Amino acid sequence: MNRLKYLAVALALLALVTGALGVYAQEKVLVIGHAESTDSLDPANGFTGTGHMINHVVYDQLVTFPDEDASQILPRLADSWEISEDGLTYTFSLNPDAVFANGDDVTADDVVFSFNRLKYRDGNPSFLADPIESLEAIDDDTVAITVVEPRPSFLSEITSAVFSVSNADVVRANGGTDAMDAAETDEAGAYLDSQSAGSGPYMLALWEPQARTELVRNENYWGEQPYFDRVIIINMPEAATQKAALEAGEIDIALDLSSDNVASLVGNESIEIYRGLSNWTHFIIMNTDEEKSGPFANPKVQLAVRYALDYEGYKTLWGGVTPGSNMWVGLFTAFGEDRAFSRDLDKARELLAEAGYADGLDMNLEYPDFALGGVSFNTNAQKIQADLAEVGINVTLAPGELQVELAKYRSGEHSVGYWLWGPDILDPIDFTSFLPGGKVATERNNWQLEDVPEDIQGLIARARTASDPEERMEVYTALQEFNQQHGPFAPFVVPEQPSAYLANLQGFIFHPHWTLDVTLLSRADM
Amino acid sequence: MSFFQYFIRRALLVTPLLLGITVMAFLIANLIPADPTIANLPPNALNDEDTIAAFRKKWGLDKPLHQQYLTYLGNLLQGDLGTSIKTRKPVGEDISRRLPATIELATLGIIFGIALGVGLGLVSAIWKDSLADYAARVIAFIGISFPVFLLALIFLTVFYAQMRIAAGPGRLDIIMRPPPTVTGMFTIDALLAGDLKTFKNAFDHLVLPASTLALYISAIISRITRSSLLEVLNQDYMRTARAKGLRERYVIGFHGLRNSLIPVVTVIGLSYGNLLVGSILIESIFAYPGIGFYMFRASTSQDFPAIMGVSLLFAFIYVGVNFVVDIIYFFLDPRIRVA
Repeated sequence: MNRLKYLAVALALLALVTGALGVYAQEKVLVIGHAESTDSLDPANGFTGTGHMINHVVYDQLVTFPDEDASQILPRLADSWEISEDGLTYTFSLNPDAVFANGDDVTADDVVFSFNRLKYRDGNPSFLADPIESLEAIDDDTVAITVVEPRPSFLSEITSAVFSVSNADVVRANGGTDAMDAAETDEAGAYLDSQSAGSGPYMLALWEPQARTELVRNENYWGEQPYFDRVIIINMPEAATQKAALEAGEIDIALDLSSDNVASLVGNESIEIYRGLSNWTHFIIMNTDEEKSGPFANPKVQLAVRYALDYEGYKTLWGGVTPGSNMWVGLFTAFGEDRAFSRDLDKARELLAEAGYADGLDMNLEYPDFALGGVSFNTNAQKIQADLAEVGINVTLAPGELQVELAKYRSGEHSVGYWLWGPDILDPIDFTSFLPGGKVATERNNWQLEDVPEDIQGLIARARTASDPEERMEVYTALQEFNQQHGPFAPFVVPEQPSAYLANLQGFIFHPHWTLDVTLLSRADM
Repeated sequence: MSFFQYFIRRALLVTPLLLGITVMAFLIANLIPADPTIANLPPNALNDEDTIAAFRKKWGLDKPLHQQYLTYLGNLLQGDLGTSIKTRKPVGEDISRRLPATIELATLGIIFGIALGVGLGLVSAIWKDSLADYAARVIAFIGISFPVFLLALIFLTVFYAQMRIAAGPGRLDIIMRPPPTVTGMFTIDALLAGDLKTFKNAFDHLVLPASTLALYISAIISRITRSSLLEVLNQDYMRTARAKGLRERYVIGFHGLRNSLIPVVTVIGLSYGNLLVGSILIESIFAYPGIGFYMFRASTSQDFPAIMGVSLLFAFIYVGVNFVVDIIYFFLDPRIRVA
C-alpha cells in the first residue's frame, strides 16, 4: 500500500508543526493588536479611530486634552492663546522650539496651510473646518483663526488629529496644496499614506492597509522622547484573535476586546485587564410624532419607560456605568450615575395609569441586528422587552439590517427605536443633538423647538454660545434635568470597553478621542 | 470528439457565464437596501449635505443604475476594476497585492484537504464498517458540520494560544521581515532568496489556517471517495483482478482508485468554491491579509468596486478550476472521447 504510506508521511508532516521562533531585534518594540479602521493616514483626508490614534503621535496639534479625559484644554504646539471679546478670533502663540521631524521650524504658515488644506481637500473630515472663516499668519510664531460665529467648542474640536499641523514645504513638494480647488488638485494623499510630515514624537515608517502600520521614533522630536523605538500595529479584526495573540505573548496589547472574551483572561498573571469606559451611550428613542409612535409620544409614558428599566441589569451584562442623560458621562457637566434614574416599577405603573394605559399597551421596538464592541443589540432588546413587560408594556422586537434601520432612524420614520450615540465633539455642546433643534431630537425624532417652553428654548440658545464654565454648568444642568423629566429618550447604559495588555507594560491609559497615546507606555525591567 | 473540439466547446460556455456573473454581482451589490455613504462616511459627516453629495459624485453613485453598470463594464474591458472606496486604491492593485497570499494558503489548503479527504475515504472504504471507518466518518462529520470560523477559533486557541505548538495570526511572526517580493508568496520568495528561516516561518503560519480549510473541504471529499470506491470495489473487473492473483494494493491502486476518481475530481472542483468562501472567514480570524480578508472588509463597508472585483475574481477562479476539471475528465474517462 504505497499510497497509504505517502499519505501517512504527509499527515505526519502536517502534524510536525513547531512554534515559530521570533527574532527580536535590539530595539524596544511595542506590538499592538487592533481592529484597524484606517482609510487614510493623511490628516486632512482620513477620519477613523485608528487614524486618530496614529496621527495623534505622528503630528502635533495646536492644543490637546489631558492624558485620560476631555476635562480641559492644554497647550501643545501653541504655548498660549487668546480669544477675542466677540468670541470670533483665536490667536495662538506657537512654541518657538517646535520643529518638524526633518528639522524645519514649525511656523504659523504651516498652521494656515494645514487648516486650509483640510478645509478645501473635501475629504471625510473636511466639514470639521467649516466653522473656520479665515486664517492669518501674523508672524512666524503667531497665527490668528477667525470663526464664522462664536463657537464655545472650538478649542475642543481642534485637539483632533484631523487638525494636525503638517510641514507645508514637504506636503507641497509632494503634490499637496491648500488652494480652494484642493479637492481636485491635491495629490499628496499617496505620500502621506506612506510617510508623515509632522512634528510629533513618532514618524510613520510603513502602512500596509489592513495588515500593519509601523511607527519609528522621531530623533528630532522637540519634546520628551518616548520609551519605545518602534511601534507596530497589527490588524486583527477579531477580538478572539487578539486575545489568542496576547495569551501567546506575541502582542503587547489587545486593544479591542469585549466583555465576554475578557472574562477568561481574569486570573492570568501575565496579563492586565483595563476596563475603560466606551464612548457609547445606549438609549431608547421614542418618536415625538404621535402618528409614528402612538402612546409613546406622550411624555408621561416616556417617563414611565425610564422608571421601568432595570439599569443595574445592563451593567451586570456589559460593565460600565448608568448614564444620567444622553450627554456622554465623561464630558464636562454630564450627569453621571449619582444623577441617573433607578428602577421604580410602582412609579412607572402610576404614570402609565395617569396617561390612561392602566391596562397595558404595545410597543414596536426597532433596532439594528448588530453588535459593537461585543455589546449585542439583540441581547439588550430582549432585556428591554422583559423589563417593560413588568409594567404592562408589551414589546414586539423588530430587528433589521444595520443599514436599513439606520436609514429609517435617520429620517425619523421609526416608532420606538433602540440606538447608541458616541459624541461627535468631546464637549458638552454635543448634548444639543438631543435637544429640540438638534440632530437626534428634531431630525431623527421630530421633537420641535416649539414643543418646549420658552425658557427652555432660551436655555438651548445659550447652550450653543456659552463659553464661561460656570454658565455652561448652570445651563447644561438645567437642560439635562429637563430632558430627564420631559425628553423622549431613555439612556440606559454606557458599557465598558475592555482592553488587555502584558503585565510588564506600564502607562496604559484609554482616551475617549485618540484611544491610546503610545508615548505614555513603557516596559518594566523583567 | 477530438480534444480540440472538446476544449473549444467548453471554453465558449465560459464567456457568457462570466458576463452573467458581472450582471448578478452588480445587481446584488446595488440592490441590497444599504447605503454606502452611511457605511463609509463617519456619522457626523453625514449631516453635511456637501460631504454626502461630493462622496456620491466621486463614486458615481449619483448616476442611474444601468449607466453605472455600463461604465463599470466598459472600464472592466480595459482591465480597470475601479477604485476601492475603503482603501482608495485601484481594486486591481489591491487584489494583486493580496492574491498571492490567498493562493499560497488555498494551495496548501487544497493539498492538505485532498490528502486528508482521499486518505480518510480510502480508510473508510477498505476497512468498511470497522472502527477505522467510524473514526474517519466522525472526522468528516466534524469537518462538515462545524462552522468554519468556530474551527478556526478552536485551532487558534488550542494549538497557538494554549499549547503554543503552532504559529499564530498573520503571514509571518510580527517581528520578521517579508522576503524580497518576486511572486508575493512568502514561502516561494523566501526559497528564491535562499532564506530558510523565513520559509519555515511563513510555512508555519500557513499550517493552522490551511488545516482549518483542509478539514472543512476534506469532509465532502472523503465521503465521495468512500462511496465511489465502495461501488468500484464490487465491480466484476475488481474480482477478475483479484482472481488473476494481483496483490491487493495493485488491485485497489490501479484498478480501484483510478476508476473511482471521476466523482472525486468533480467534488474537488466544486470544493474550490467552499475554499474561497471559507477563506473569507478564515483569513479574518487568522488576521491573514489575503483576498478573503479584503472581501470581508469590503462587504462590511459596502465597498462596491471591491466587492465586484473580488466576486469576479472568485467566479473566474471557480469557473477556471471547473474548466480544468472538465479537461481532466477527458483524460480520465475514455467515454467522453467517443461521445
